[in-house]
Amino acid sequence: MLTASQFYRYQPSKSSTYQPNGTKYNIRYGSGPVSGFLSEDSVSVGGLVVKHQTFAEVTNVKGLGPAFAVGQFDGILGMAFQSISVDDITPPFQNMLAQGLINEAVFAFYLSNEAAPPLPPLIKGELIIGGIDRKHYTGELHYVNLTSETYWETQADKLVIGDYTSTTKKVVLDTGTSILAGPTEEVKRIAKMVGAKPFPLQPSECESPSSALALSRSRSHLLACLAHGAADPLQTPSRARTWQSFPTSR
Amino acid sequence: MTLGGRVFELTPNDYIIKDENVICLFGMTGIDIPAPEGPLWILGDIFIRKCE
Repeated sequence: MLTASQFYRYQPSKSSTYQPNGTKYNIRYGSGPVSGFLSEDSVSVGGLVVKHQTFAEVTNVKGLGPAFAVGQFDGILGMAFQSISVDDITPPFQNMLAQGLINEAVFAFYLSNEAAPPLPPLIKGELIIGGIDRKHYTGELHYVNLTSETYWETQADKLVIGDYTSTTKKVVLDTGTSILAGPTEEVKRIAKMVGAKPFPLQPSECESPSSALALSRSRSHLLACLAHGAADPLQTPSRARTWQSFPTSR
Repeated sequence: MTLGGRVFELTPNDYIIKDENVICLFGMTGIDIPAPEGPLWILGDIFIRKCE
């Protein structure tokens, strides 16, 4: 099992710019609840130093699920709008703009398709703050209007899978969700169409397997993986890990 | 998937997560976001990797 020492941890006593706040907070992610208290400090991201950034120190990471134990990340950087920020905290990107650290209110993600080795670092990627790297795309950018300044939310014209057209048109673009997620009834229908079967992702879901769906090549092998995976997340196949950081309540 | 008049297409290669050829995961899960935010689709990394 991985130990906490494999993560970078925030140590306020080692920071001369630390300002205590102490307000307790609670966030419900798709994978479960996370809680702790607020603090303030200078936050440095890729050489940009954001001053007086309020952020959440996490004392309970349980809600991040097995992904936190096996994934190589130490925290979450929210890139959505302040309107959905817990306790109305100004997010780092908005502070970067206000403090003149970037000129353009633009950021871009690059997620590579490069095969991941069995151990971290996983798939390569980049977050570009204040611009876009032309190396990472071809053609022209396509702009889509947002339907609200909350999540990165828009209205799809159409969402078609095989001969099924979704009745849900509201979509949210979220890098914090590994896969695709939609209304359970629709997903069940689509899963049936493509021949996917239910597969519990987390130990807590073993009692009522509902959330993830697997296409099994060898049913007995899948069941064997399940038996192991449920007991110890590290035993789950490396690429089978998915998680969601999409907040489900606020 | 059509967004702002442009079609974004995912192939099985994009939404099936293969694990050392032992199992294949269908990269879609159920999530019921209550109104007024929901119901909605979350287009996660599977979509963003392909279509960003």
